[in-house]
Amino acid sequence: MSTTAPIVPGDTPGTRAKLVLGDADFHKLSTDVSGIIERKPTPKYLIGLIAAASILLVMLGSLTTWS
Amino acid sequence: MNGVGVWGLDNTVFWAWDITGFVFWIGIGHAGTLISAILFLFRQKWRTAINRAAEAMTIFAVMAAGIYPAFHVGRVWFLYWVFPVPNQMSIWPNFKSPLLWDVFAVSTYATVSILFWYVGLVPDLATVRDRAKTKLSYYAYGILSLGWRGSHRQWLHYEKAYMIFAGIATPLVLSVHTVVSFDFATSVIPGWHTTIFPPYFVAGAIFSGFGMVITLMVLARKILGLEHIITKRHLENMCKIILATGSMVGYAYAMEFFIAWYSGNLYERYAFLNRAFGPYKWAYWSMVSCNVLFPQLFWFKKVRTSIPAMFVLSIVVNIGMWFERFVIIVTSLHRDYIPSSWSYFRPSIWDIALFLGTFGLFLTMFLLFCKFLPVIALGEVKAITPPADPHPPHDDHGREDEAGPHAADPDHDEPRAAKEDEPPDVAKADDEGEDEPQPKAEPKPSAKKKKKKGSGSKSKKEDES
Repeated sequence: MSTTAPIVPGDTPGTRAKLVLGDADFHKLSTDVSGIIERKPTPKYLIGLIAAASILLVMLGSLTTWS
Repeated sequence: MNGVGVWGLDNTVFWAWDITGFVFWIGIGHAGTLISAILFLFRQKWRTAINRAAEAMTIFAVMAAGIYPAFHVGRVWFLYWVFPVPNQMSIWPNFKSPLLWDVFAVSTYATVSILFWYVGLVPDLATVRDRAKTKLSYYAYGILSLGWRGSHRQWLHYEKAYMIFAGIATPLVLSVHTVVSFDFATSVIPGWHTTIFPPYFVAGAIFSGFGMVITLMVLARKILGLEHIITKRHLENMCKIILATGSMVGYAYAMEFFIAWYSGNLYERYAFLNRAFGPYKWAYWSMVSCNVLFPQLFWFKKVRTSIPAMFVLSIVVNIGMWFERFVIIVTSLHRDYIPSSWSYFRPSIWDIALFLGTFGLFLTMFLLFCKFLPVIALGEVKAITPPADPHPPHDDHGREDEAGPHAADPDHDEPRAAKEDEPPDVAKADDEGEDEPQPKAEPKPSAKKKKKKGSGSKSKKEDES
């Protein structure tokens, strides 16, 4: 028995979508992950970091107020 | 007012936001160890893209949790007295106290989590070292990578060490929150003195931990451009775990009420009725909605595969889990055995500032981690890609991560082992009763590629094991 229905990975019972999408080449994976460390931080990242650090300062400020 | 006096505590509610925050953060940390250790031992390949970040999250969550007991002792500089170290004042910790058990449980958990995380990082730190463009980063990552060269011998030791750590960390996933639940369960306070607490706390911890992992991963994959490595499949699997553990938590809520009624204990019954219909009913019903009702939406695949929906629901889960700890702690304390001492707890601005600050600490540490350390376990992700597969998929059979032509054919699921050693044509010939065996089928072109010998590539063959 076979079916002529197209199989869409991840949508058909018994099949699963790939864990790494696209061309899963070793070098590309290294570049994608290490590139985050190597390149300059993006504005989105910096905004997030500044926001997080500001919230942290709330706690540090509250500690100094105690004393 | 000084010290912890600035918190909104009183004689009746002597624990509130501090212990709520502590239990909340310890719970958050559970998903990291579960993904790293338990899913590793169960050979769940999908863990590889998220385990590194989840382990980091565990460590930062434990750091955030550690702030509360440090401040709660009043004099932070004497915090080391909680450890059983000799001191000149002969103050020894009480070994019968679950609070001391907490010290051992949490410190062991933190130590094992850090070591496990670091061991996993070593090959990837070497990859970063080998790609370093400045001397500073070369030496910094060189020192951190402990002289890793990616030799066969090093991988052998590495994999053994990783397996041992996974074995050690697995019981910790269950033990840490079990011990934390003993802080309450060993007391005689109605609403706390219950045997269901350990499994209930562990399920809740995994529930909230995965909620936080989804929140962070959705943001990280978008901001860092890792959508092809942290895929919808990873996120959907985590949604399924949230659905399962959320249902366990819902069952625990129901059982608490049932046992309170079934016990026949008036105080116990009152404690639970007071939770649901007393002054803190808003907190109780927020908890039930966020932890039991909303996660049921994950039954629908559309919700499980919708990034905005799962992001919102993961935040809802974490709000609900914070409320769970608040409800357990405050509603059980605010009306004790003496009605004249009943009170209504309100947090002070310092309670709120401290709680917000722990979020600041957690997120700052996580963002720094994303920038300075490999956020994906490169070696492990490479090991599950086709180039690392010694038995690459061919045209005739569907594989776990590739939809083959027979994947949807129910008849194709016949026993494969019987024919494994002989070519398909021979098996067919035998079935047809032919005497002459057919010539062996021509081997199909293999997709196998020679593995790179770079320090970051991992030679693990997960399929074989």
